[in-house]
Amino acid sequence: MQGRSCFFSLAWMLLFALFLVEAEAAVVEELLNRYQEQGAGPFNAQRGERLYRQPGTGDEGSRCAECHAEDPRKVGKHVRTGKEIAPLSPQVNPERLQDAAKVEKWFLRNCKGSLGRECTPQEKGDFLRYLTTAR
Amino acid sequence: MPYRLGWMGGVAFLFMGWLVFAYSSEHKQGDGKRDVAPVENALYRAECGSCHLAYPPGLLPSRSWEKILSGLEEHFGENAELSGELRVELEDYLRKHGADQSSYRRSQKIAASIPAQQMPLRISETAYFRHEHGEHRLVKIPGSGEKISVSRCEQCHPRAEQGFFDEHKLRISSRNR
Repeated sequence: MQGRSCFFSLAWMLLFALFLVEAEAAVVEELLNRYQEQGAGPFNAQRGERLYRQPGTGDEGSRCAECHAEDPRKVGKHVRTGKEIAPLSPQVNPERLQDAAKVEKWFLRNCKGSLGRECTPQEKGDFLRYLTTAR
Repeated sequence: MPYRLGWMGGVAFLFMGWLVFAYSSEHKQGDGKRDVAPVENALYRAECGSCHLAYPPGLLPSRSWEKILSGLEEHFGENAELSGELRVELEDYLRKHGADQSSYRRSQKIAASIPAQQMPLRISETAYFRHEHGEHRLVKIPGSGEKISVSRCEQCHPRAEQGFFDEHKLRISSRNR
């Protein structure tokens, strides 16, 4: 009896995890399509990684990797406040890339802060490609 | 119908008991168990708490929060801009729960320590904070010895977001300053 309920709860958890992965894939696809409509593409994970590591040129002066950890699958730490930041990579953190508006909000804030300007659709697409494929 | 009366009486009794409980627990929070009101707004916790502690709004007067929200593009050296909609909702929450609007003891003390024409942007600038913490801007964490900014309340006040700043639960002593 116990084994059976254990099996069911495991099955539910698996189903939920699958659901999150599916949702993430759908959101990323939606965003990439949007960037393509804006004239960008094809997208390249290596360019995305370069963007992730390039020195900051904006007012905040920080690189993405400085707060989000050199490896986006690890826990990061905000350079100013010291607050822990959950991993950016959706491969280890299924809560990431679940909401297109949230993704755009953080692109806007952090591109302006780190680069002193908004990111282009090409850069955003490359960045998402990097996050979803980096291993 | 004695049976029916008894049933309804029971419900009424339970309801009155709940009323007394609800009133007394709310009252307890207001008279010193908590130091300031806890953070209870999910949007505030998500939007502001991603980068730093979601500071309880009762730590600064409403006019300070309004000034902070009007300059989010340049927020202590970071871009923290919000869409108009979100900002309006947060402004509403912060304005209603500022230190000068609160019945909590410490909030009232903070509010009273700020001259009417001043709009401090940092909690650590207020006279009450300085009275409590001295002039130190950096404090040492016990163990690692790392020096951190006083702005990281939660490092010494682990339940800061819930409104507790009780000195008996402090993680460090003044020796660490």
